Amino acid sequence: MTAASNAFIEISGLTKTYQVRPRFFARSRPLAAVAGVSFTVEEGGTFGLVGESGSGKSTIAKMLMGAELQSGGDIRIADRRFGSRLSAADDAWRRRALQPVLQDPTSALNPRLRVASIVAEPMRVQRSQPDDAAYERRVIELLEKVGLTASHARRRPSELSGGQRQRVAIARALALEPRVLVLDEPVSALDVSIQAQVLNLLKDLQAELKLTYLLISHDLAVVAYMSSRIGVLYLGQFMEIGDKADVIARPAHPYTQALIAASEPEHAASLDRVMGEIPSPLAPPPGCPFHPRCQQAVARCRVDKPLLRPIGPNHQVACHLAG
Amino acid sequence: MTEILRVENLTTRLSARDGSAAAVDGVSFSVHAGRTLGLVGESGSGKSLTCLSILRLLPPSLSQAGGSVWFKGENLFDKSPRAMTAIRGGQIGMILQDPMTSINPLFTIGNQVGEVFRHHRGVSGRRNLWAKAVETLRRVHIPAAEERVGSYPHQFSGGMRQRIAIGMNVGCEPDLLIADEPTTALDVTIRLQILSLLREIQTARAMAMILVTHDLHLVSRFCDEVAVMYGGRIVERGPVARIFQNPAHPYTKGLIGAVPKIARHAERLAVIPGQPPLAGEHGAGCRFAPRCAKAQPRCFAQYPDDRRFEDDRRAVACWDPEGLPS
Repeated sequence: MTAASNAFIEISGLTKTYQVRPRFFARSRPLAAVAGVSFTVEEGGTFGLVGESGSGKSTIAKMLMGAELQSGGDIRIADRRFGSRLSAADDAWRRRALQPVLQDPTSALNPRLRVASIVAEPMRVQRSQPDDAAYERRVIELLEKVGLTASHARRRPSELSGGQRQRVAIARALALEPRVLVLDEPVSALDVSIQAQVLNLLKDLQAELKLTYLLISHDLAVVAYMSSRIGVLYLGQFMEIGDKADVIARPAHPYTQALIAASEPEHAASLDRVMGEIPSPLAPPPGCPFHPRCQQAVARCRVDKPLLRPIGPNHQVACHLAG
Repeated sequence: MTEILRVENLTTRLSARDGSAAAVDGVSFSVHAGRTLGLVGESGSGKSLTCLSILRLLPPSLSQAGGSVWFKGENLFDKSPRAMTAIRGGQIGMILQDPMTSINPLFTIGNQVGEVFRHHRGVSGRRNLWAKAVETLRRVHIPAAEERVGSYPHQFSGGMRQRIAIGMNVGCEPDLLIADEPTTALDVTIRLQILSLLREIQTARAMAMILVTHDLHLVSRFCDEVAVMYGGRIVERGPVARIFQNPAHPYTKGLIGAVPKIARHAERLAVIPGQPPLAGEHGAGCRFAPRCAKAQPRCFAQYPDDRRFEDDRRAVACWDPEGLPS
C-alpha cells in the first residue's frame, strides 16, 4: 500500500447501474451511469471531475456522500470502507466528515428560515454545541469565515444576493468541521465577478482548514484553476485522468482536447472538433464510447474498447491513438 | 457597411409602486449587416431588457420611457402593434436561452416551423408548409429532417431544440437576429456547434446579430463589437480585439481578470469586490463606483459622459479610464 497510504479518498472500480424502463410497458433495462471509475484524492488536495450532462459526475458525488449506494466497487475514506454494509459508526462519521455544496444556493437554502437557523441546523441535528449562546457564537464565527458579517444572520435567503447565498451554503457545510467538501458545480449559477470571489474563498478555506475537495464542474477552466488532479468523464468512464499540468498542457484524449477548445474558443483553431451529441447511456456505442463523435476515430475504435493506460508518471488515457 | 439597427438613448423603467427606476438607462449602440455585437453584463445589468425593449416585448409592469430604435431607417417605437407583429419573426428574429420557451410542446415541429412561413410569407397548403419545414430543419443540420419533421419537441435533445428555434427564427431571412444567451443551457461541446451554426447562417446572408451573453470567451471568438453593460448602462463599447487587449473601463478590466483561464493558470483570480447593484438602486454617480478601486468623490457625484477615442470607434463612460489621460 504505497500509493494508497497517503490517499485520503480512494475509489476503485466504482459502478452504478440503474434499472430503467424506456417505455411504460417495456422491459426494464440496465443503465450504467457510472461504469468502473477509480481515482484517489490526497488529503488537502482537490480532485476535479469534468464532464458534460449525463457523464455520471453527480452520481459519483452521491455515492461518495452515501446518498446513493454503489452497484459495485469500493469507496474508502480515511481508511474506512464504505460498501453495501457499513457500520453505524462509519455512517455517522461520514455524515459529519463529508459535506456538500451544490449548484443552486436558492434551492439549497430553506426560504423560510433565517441565515442563523440555516447555518446552525446541522450542528443542532448533531448536538454539537452545549447551549444556545454557543450556537450563536459559532454561527457568527462561520459567517465571518466565509466573508459575511453577523448582520447577515438575521436575514432570510431572499434578502441575499446569489453570491451571498452560496457563502451561506458554504458556512453551513463547514459547521460540523468536515474533512471533505463535495462541490457540485459550486459557481455555475453565479455571475462572473462573483464566481471569482467564491472560488478564491474556497481556496482560502481549503488552505486554512486543510480541507479535501471533490470538485465537479462542466467548466474546465474552473476545474483547472482549483484542482491538483483532473479526471475527464464521458458516459460514466474516465477518458483521461492525471495531474492538472499534464491534462491541461498535454491533453492526450480527443475529448479532453475538444473540451479545452470549447472552454476557450478564442484560442481554438477549429470549432467543429466534436460531432453530434452524447449518445444515450441506455445504448452506449460499442468500442470507444466517444468514437461516434471523434474526428480521429479509426476502424479499431468502433470495435475495441480502449482501457485506461499510463502515458506518463501520473497520467492515464483511454484512447488507442494517444501517446 | 450598412447600419441595420441603431438604438438611441433607450430607457426602460420598472414601474414600481414607489416611483420608477430606470432598469435600462440611456443605452445607445448600433449593429451593422453581417456583424455581431456582443452585449455583455451580469444578471440585472439590463441586457435582456434592452433586447425585449427593442422588440417591444415588455411585460405591462415595465414601461418604455424614452429613446428610439431605428431599424433600417424606421423607428420601431412609432410602429403599430400589428406592424411589430409582422417584424418580429419576419425581419427580426429572437432566440432565447431555453428553446422550450419559444416552442409549443403540443404541436409537431413541422407544424410550428411551417407556421412561420404561413404567417410571414403567406405560404399555404399542408404540403408546401411541410416542405418549407423540412428545408428549414436541413438548413440547421438536423439529421434525417424528413423523418424528424413530424416529431414533437420532447423527442429532441436540448441542442436539437435550439437548432429548431434558430431555424424558426431565421427561416424568413431576417436582417437582424437577437440571440439572448442562446447556448447557456447547453453542454460545452454543443455550445460551439450552435454558435458555428449561427455564424454560418449569418455569413450566408449578411445578417446582423446581437449576442447577449455573460461568457467573455464566446464574445472574443464570435463577436466583432462588444458593449459592456453595468447597472442599466453601457460602460464601454468598441471592437472586441481592442477592448480585450486594452480595456478602458475598470469594470471591463475587472471582468476580464475575473475569468479563470485554462492555460495561464494563476494562483489567485483577480476579484471585483462587492455585489452588482439591483436594478434602479444607485445614486447619481457612476454605478460601478462602490466597487471600483479607483473611485474618487466625483465618481459618486456625477455620472461620467461617454468619452470617445481611437477614431471614435471606442467609447467609455469613466472619469479616469485606463490608459487615457483623464
